[in-house]
Amino acid sequence: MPIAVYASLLDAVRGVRWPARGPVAAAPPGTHHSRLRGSSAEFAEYRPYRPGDDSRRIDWKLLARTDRAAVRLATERAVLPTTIIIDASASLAFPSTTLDKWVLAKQVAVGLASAAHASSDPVGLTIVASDGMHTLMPRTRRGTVGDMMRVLEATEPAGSTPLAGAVRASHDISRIAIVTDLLGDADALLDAARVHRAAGGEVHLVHVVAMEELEPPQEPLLATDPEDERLERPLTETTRSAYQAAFAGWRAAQARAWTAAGAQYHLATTGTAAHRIVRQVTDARRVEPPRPGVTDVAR
Amino acid sequence: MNWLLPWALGAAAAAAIGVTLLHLLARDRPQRWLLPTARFVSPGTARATRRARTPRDMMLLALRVLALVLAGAAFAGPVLSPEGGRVARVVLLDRSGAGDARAALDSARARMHAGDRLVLLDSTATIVPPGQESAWLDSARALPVVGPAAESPALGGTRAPLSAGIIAAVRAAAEIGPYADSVLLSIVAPSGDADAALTHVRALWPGRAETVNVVPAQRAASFGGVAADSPSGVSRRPSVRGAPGDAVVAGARLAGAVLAGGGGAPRGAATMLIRMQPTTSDSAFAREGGTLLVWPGDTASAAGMAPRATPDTIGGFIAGDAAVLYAAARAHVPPQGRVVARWIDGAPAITEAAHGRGCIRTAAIVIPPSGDLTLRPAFQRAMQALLAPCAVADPRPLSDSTRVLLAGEGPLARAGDLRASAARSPATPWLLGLALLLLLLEPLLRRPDASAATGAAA
Repeated sequence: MPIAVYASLLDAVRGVRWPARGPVAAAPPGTHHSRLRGSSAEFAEYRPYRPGDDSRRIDWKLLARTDRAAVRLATERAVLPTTIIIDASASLAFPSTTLDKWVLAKQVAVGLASAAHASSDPVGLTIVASDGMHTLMPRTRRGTVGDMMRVLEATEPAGSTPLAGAVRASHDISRIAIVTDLLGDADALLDAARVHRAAGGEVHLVHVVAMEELEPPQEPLLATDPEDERLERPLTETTRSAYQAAFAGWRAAQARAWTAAGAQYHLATTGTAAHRIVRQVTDARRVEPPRPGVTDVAR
Repeated sequence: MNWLLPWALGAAAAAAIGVTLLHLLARDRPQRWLLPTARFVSPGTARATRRARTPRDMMLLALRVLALVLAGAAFAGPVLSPEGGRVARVVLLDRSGAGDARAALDSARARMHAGDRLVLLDSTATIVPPGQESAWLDSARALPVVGPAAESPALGGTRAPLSAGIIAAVRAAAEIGPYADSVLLSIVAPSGDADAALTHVRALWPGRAETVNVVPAQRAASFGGVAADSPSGVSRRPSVRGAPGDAVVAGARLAGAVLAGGGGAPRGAATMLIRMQPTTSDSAFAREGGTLLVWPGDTASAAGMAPRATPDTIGGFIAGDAAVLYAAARAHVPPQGRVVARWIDGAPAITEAAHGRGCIRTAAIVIPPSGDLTLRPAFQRAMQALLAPCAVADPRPLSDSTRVLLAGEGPLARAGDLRASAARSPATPWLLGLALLLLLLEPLLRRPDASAATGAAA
């Protein structure tokens, strides 16, 4: 896939920012709301002065007005390290002639990386391929997204390596975006995502589905799993509707499960433009406001 | 071009139509398609029935149809034949008729062509072996000159009925070659009355026939050129040659025979009895139309006699309407021929065989040298019957009703109806081989199993 195709995608997602879903943990200064309360210019609240507080943070004007000594607290902002975990198993190589699923997965990964990078967040990439995991550590330097594109273009989807390991390896990463079709180790992956979410991390799941999987051809076919060619099922007039119902039910169940786990579930079909999916994932309207009373004072 | 089994073409056409329909309705294994979400498809039999507007795999269909057509043509047996088809003949030559023998042979020869069959009717119905018809006719026409004891073509004597000849003709027609479409039965010189089975047997021949008359044979109006009771006063009384004291000679003389000298039958005699082996002149006598009765005194030394399997004694013999009773010793059997006298148990005692225009009668009866047996009236009557002229041919011409019955009506018989087994076409093995060759090529044209090109199904 020519790099020029990414150019149009990057142009489409220019200006897209990927805000955090909630206050982030302590981290270097960035653009995301931090759980910490510090001495930035963005006023947040007053707190009564306690012995030991820095006297320079006492609001003298409030003292003059109210005869109450209080400390001025402001909202801190932090960076949100992000890792894009992309599934490069054989099931992504569908249809075999166009590889639409893999193309969409790459584009979504690059788009999300670009959005995170634009938010000045360190962004990395983990490719789970047949020969193991290939990781680009989160970075904020200028050529990060370009490096990701080159690595992705050099990867061919094959094999069936589990993804859960990549999620577990990203335990110290605040935000992960998993781009997969969930046809591998879906249960283990969900468990790993729960753990990551429980640790305070942010999890986004982009479920890649091909249009041909949603609407298979009408002619009788012998459907064979590319990751297990012993599995052969006749796809005929009598079995097509049942297949579609089963597949839809499974997708709905996955969406419920991932949502219940605290992750953000996004369905990405190959008939949808990649930049729309990126915008859907990075939608600021779905950002959670900081919760009052939960503060940590920045030291 | 004709077909030996035309129905095979129809069967091949029906099979070809069936194969074409199967190419519209064939159930086959669906094309293989890689689908990552195949696990959500219900398990089942990997077969799919499709109906198409046009037959699938046109090349394979064409090959199969062509193979079926060739196989059908092979079994149908194409035969190249001249325009209008070929008419084969079965010639039934009645040699016991009153017609002239040579004329009958000439008529039969004129009607014979290559591949035709020849059936002879005389004392039996004989089918001449295929390919030997011309040779037999040539040899028969030569009328071989033989010695006293030699065989001669049976131009008379015991006569088989026409029914036997027609049955033999039906059997001969069963081996007519594949190039004949129709068969004509030609009955040359038929004679005699219709026997009781002739109507039913004639129905075995499924077509019309033709009867061919020949000029009547010249019969000896007189023996030696002298008519009976001619002005010359020569008698036509039978003659007998033997020892005057011989009992049989005495009995023959009492029956009216004239004692002949050693030079043979007297001039004008029509019948002669001899008590010894016949000489050349005796054979010539019979050949010229005379009746020669050979009654050897010693049957053991007589030519043509065959020893009985079990010599025995019997109580007498019957000739004509006379029964001669005495204790007769039987040691020999007379040669084959028309039976003119029988032992009282029905076995032949004296037989007659045609010889030239006459006949030779051979007696296997031993008469005691002494006694009055030959003087008895019964013996006299028997002797008169034995000295009667030959029954060489049935002088009765074919009656009109019999002629109409034999001719029949309608078209000629179809060769296929008469053949015992289906004739073979020389093209059959080639057509069959070609059909098998095409069937061997069929696997090469079958669709291979679909690869995992999932996009091919889209």
